[in-house]
Amino acid sequence: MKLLIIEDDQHTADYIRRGLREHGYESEHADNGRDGLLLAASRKYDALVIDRMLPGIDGLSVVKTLHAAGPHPPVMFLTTMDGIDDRVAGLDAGGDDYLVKPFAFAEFLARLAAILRRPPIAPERTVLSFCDLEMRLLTREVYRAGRRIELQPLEFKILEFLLRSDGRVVTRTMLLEKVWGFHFDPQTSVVETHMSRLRAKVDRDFSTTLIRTLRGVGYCLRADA
Amino acid sequence: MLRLLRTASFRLAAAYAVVTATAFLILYLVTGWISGHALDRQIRAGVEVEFADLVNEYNDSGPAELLKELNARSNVKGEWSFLYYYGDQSGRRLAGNIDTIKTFEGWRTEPLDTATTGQTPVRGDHEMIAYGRHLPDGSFLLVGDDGYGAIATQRAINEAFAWASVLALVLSILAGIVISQRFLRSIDRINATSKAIMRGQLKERIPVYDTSDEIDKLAANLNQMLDSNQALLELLKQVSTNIAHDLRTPMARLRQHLEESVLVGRSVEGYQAVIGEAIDEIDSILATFSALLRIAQIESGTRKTAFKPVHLSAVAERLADSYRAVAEDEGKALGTTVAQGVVFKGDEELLTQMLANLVENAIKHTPAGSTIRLELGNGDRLTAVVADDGPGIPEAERERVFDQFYRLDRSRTTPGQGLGLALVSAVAQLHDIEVRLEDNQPGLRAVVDFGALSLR
Repeated sequence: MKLLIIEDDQHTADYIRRGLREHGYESEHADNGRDGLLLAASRKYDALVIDRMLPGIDGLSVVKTLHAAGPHPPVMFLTTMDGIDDRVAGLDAGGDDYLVKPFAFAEFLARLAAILRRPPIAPERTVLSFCDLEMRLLTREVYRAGRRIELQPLEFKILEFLLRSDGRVVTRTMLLEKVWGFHFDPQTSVVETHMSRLRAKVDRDFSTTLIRTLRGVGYCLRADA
Repeated sequence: MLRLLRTASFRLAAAYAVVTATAFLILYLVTGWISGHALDRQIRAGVEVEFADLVNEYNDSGPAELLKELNARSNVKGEWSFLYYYGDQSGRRLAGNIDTIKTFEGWRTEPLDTATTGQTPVRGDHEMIAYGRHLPDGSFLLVGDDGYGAIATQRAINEAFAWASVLALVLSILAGIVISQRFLRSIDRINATSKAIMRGQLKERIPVYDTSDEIDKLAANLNQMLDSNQALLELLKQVSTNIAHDLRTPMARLRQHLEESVLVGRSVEGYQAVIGEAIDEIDSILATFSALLRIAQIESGTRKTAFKPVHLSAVAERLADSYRAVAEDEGKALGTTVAQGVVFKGDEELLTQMLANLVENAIKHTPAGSTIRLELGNGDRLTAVVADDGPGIPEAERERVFDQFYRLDRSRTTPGQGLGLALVSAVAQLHDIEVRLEDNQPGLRAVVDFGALSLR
């Protein structure tokens, strides 16, 4: 896995690259939009991490240019601009995800993993499964070891998101955005409450816990004895 | 006085005076030219008639009769009489009231002075329009008219014009001075106030007299502007104080924890725990900043361009689904009544956050056992209501809770930044929505008034 970081702030770039190295990713760095675009065009990277505000050519234009030129590796935007318009503009330009600085590195890794392993064109599956857990999307039914589990709509959506993430970590923010459509940080424990209810229904009566909480990071599906 | 000359209104009055004077001058010249021509024609006609009359006399009765007639007519003393000259072949004067003249044929304008008219020095030095011709016997007859009466009239008119012009000029200038001084006094009022404000007396206002003229309206408008500026300034001051205050507490706590761990010395796990706590503290500080930035961004109004129809019913259902479990876990009940198919043009993310903040506030600030209601109504007006039967907010504080960082005393211990309702207010302002806090008897009732149905 090789990544290109286009980021004009040396500290941030070093911080990201150091973290990536610890997690087994290779990375290269460009500190302006022009060099970044040239490097990105060489097509030897698995993903691009691009700051919105760059000297030379700004991040948005870099991605627009890449996007117009044809297929390109997945793009994650980094920005200090905490605005929804910015996010929408970033995604419209061809970005795959958008992360606002400052961010927790765990959040960055989880999102990076999500865009890296996004299947090119996922065939619409009607059944999602993990271990002995089975989700039938057409009838909206969930079974564990053949036993029907009744879920509330939100719980169903959370579980679907976890199943689609294929064992990867999903963060609280990712859940809020994808399941709730909330682009703000709620002041109450919305995610935790629903998560614990879901876990109660899915895991309580079984010896194997499927839904795991990674403290300070998020949640994932993992078969634990 | 110099200042007076420089004022806009005085310059205007002066310009007006110049225009008036010019108009008078043009009027005078045109009248003079027209009346001059008419006078000339009239004089010539009179001279022609008189000459013809005398020639007839000569033809019918002979030179002797003409001589007699001429003597008679020349002796008429008065302002309005013709001038005559009758001389024989050798150039000797036979009759008339002009002493000497060079003979000529036809019309001529001749200077008329005491040398030529010894008998009529009263008239002074001027000109006459004369017609002269040699008669068949070689004698020379001249009839002239100096138009003295008409000239006197002209002179009187000139004088009248001159006086009127001077009077008009003086009046315009006087009016200019009076108006300018009045204007200057008003400007002085405004200037004095501006200077006072610049010196730091921010509460100073321009005195307004109820004349409701333009200056008064200007003063009133300026005062209003100053009022709102001062309010904004005070808000800004208050907000920055609040930011400083609200950030100092977690910063101080953070510093204390870090210092403690350095002094005490811990195991690796101990340090990790302290660092973890420090990161949490910093995250909450960052959350405050990000909330502030978000409010600032909403208040800038740039998001208005991205307004789209929002299915409020779906938003309300989603919020109900999301928060029912949260409320239950805290021993509270969240009930909902949502009208179907309600659509409002706006920003879905912000409207969602606005309603979510109200619901979260109700959950956070009520004791266990409370009932919270979320209602979306589609009556005369489109309204969303979040009501609870908790402790409510004292009436005096209901407006202030929308201010940034404002928190009720009893809420000081609950987590939060005191920015939730400030964001609600910012979103409402962006959408021209009214948000009211009412007494739910008991409890608090937050009413989001989206407006009349026809306005949607």
